[in-house]
Amino acid sequence: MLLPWQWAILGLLPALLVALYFLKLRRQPLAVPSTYLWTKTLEDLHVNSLWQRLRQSLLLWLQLLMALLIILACLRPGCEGTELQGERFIFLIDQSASMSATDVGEGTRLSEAKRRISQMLDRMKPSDSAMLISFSNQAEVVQSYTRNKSQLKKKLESISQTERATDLTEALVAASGLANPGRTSTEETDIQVADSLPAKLMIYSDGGVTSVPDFYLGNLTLEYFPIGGLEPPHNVGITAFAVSDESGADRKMQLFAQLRNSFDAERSVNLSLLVEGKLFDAKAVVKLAPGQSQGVSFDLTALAASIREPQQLQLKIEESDDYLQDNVIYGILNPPRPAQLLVVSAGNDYLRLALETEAISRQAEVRFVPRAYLETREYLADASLGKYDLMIFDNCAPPQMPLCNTLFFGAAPPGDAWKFGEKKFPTLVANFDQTHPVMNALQLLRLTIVESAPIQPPVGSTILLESADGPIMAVNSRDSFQDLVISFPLAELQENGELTMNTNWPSQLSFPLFIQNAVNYLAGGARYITSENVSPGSLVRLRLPASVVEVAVTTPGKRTEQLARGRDGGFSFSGTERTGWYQVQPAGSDVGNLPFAVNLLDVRESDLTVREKMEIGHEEVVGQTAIEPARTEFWRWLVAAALLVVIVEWVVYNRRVGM
Amino acid sequence: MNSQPAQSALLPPELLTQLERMELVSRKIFRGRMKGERRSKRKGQSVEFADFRNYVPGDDLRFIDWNLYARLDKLFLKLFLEEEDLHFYALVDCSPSMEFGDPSKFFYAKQLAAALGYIGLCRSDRVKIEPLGLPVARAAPVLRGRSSLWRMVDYLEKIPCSGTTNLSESVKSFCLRNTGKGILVLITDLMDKSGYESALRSLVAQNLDVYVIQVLSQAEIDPDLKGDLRLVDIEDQDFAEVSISPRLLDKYRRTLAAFIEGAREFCSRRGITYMMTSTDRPVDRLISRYLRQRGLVR
Repeated sequence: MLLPWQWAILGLLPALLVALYFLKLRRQPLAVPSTYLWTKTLEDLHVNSLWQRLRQSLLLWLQLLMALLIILACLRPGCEGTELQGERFIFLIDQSASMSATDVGEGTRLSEAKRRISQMLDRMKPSDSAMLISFSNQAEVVQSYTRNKSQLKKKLESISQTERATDLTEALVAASGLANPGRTSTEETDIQVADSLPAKLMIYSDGGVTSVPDFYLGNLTLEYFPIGGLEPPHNVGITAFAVSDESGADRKMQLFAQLRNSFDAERSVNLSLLVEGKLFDAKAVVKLAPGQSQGVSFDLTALAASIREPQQLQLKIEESDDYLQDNVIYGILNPPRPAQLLVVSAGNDYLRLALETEAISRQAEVRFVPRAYLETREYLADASLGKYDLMIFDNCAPPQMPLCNTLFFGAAPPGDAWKFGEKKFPTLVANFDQTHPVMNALQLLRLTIVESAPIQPPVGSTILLESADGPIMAVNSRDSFQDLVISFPLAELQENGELTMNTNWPSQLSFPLFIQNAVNYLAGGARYITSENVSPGSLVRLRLPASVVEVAVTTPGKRTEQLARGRDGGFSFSGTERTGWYQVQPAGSDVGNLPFAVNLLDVRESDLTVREKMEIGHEEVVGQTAIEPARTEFWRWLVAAALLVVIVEWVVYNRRVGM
Repeated sequence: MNSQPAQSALLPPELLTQLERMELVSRKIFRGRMKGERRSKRKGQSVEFADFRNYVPGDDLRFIDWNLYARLDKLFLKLFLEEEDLHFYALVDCSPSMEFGDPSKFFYAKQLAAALGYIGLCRSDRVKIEPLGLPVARAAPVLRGRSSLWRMVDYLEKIPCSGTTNLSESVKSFCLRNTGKGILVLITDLMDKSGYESALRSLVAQNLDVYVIQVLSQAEIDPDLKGDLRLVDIEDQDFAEVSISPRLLDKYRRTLAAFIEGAREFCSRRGITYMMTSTDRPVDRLISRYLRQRGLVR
């Protein structure tokens, strides 16, 4: 590609030619008896000097020179230059949160990456094409293959900083689309569906990505350009955050946070906790060892007891460093709300007893209804509008699944998803899953069950309890809900109205514990912080009372979005691009604001250390600082010189003809 | 052209009187056709004794030297020199290049031819003035005697300056038509691009007493030119683009000098008498001084 001033010189050439044409002398004609002597005189003049003698054959020399130049140009001479090698380039630019670090001198890592890509674009040959992909935890093809450099630069500038985590996989898949086209196989042959177009993949990132071992590079040649300062970054960040209440009589409400120092020296920081913008508490954390994490906690018991409205919490590191996003954490402290439980039972005292313990009554409101309730219109209203957090069906099943979590005893949920086998007698407990929260601290091996049906749960279910004949307890998710199904009833109501026990579980200590766990797990207990850890860019499902038809979500950027109830009965919000508080204002109901907070809380993003290498598809890619040497070609200059020689030749020829 | 002023222009009366005292001189002794005022190589019947030779039967007894016979008792024949007329040819170049100058070289050439012709006429020589390059149909008359002066002048005035440019061809054509011997004066500017050498060679072959008078105008000898010019040849429209500079003019003069020197050398090697004259030099002065020096007239 010629530079603008080179184009200008080329553009001037025709003008120069025209000027020469007009400058050519217009001579006055004069009649003489004979030009014989004059011609002789001029010839003598020419012959006399060496220069004139050379001029005799000047045209020949010029033509030879031109031919030589053209031949040289055809030989394509060149030398080591800085031009890009290749034909197709894919620039992958990291726009994740850590790219906002300011350890690269001027601007952020992202602006540095843009600057370096822009330099690369300048070095591209006119015939090269390039593609731009930006990635954080999702990838976006900013510009597909084009040769238009200005378009590429415009699109490059439009790439903005995000506050998301990093995941290279999607970007790599997007990049490999053209380089490694899909194949389709028939019985006879294996057909490649498109021509593969080898490309050079250039990753501009700080390397804070997980390795992508299951990726096939194929026709992609990978180059990794680490972006970031040479010195270890100055950063202390909050990498974990939680609010929890301790069980026990005193019900202590605490806020936990974890700090991490990615600087290579000991650091001290001051932490402030703000509630609704006002300083609530402050702590000095001294001596954070390099590369180490340290936890801090704040007591919120008094605050939790006094609030009526959701409170916005903000935990802040006062000291400034290279990466500011992890210096502030946002949280929401909700006033406690009891969970709503509905128990459909023909009268099961064991179950009633277990649900009326002090621990459960403190976090949930339980309503008992007879089986006949399932036939009423009231059930249909309650089930469809999601009024309850959990419904427990004791030895019965509803005509249709309610829009809430469910727990079934001795009955299969309606529909084809769950299949019960034939009842087996006796049932021997073989195994149970102790890692599941519902089974926490339970000992079930001494359980005696008279008869039970082995369950064939839907695909993806977690089996919690197994008998010798098959699973008898499993949990599965249904849209945003959880269904816990136990295939054996606790007791069966005989025709004479007496209860016959089917198992000895209710008489064991594990039963109330199980009910407690199940209520905690399925009814959520009393939640103080809404969504657990909403990270930027992720989808948030808002569970709101049935009376809410529409909600307005206001982002930290004060943009408001109206949401309607989705098919699963909840509200889905995807615009969680920025960290901060999101206000959820239900419309047309008496329910107040239900805010939630978005935080990144990513240790990898907070660790600003620039990774020297990356592992992609079993290949280790070492970061490059310099550009691969390439050939700089001179043939254009030679052709230009040949053109110049033609012009000189033309001038000389005209002068000679004139004489 | 009006004949009366031209007549006076070609041969003014004062020139005529000057010319009457002169005569043409040939370095060779030629045989003429008629008795003239010239001594001939041929032994004849004039009063001037030349030689003796032995008598052979059949000789004219009238020429036997009886006195010698008396003294030596042998028969000798007395030989006398024959006196004959001289053939004078003047060749005038009629190529368009002669039209140049003020007065034109052509006029000058005609004047010179007329003057020399008049000298010949006065001495009863056989004078023939031939325009070069004109069609043969317009062949020149042969003149003799002083009375032919006005015929000669009239003829000369009617010669147009529009002959061919090829000197060599014209001269060859003349040589074919005129085999006689005598004096030949070629009046030309020698500016023939194909060269004058071939023309002069054919004259040499004729065994004539050849004189070449090169006539150049002052503008040719010392051109007064300025600026950037396109010099157009009036003969063949050929042109030369020049930017006049002192260096170029100097070079031109040297080229002209070399050209004249070349012609002089060419002529002297072949026994041709060469001389260059400018149209600025009066004809009477040319004849009375320069041609007398060269031995053409006395």
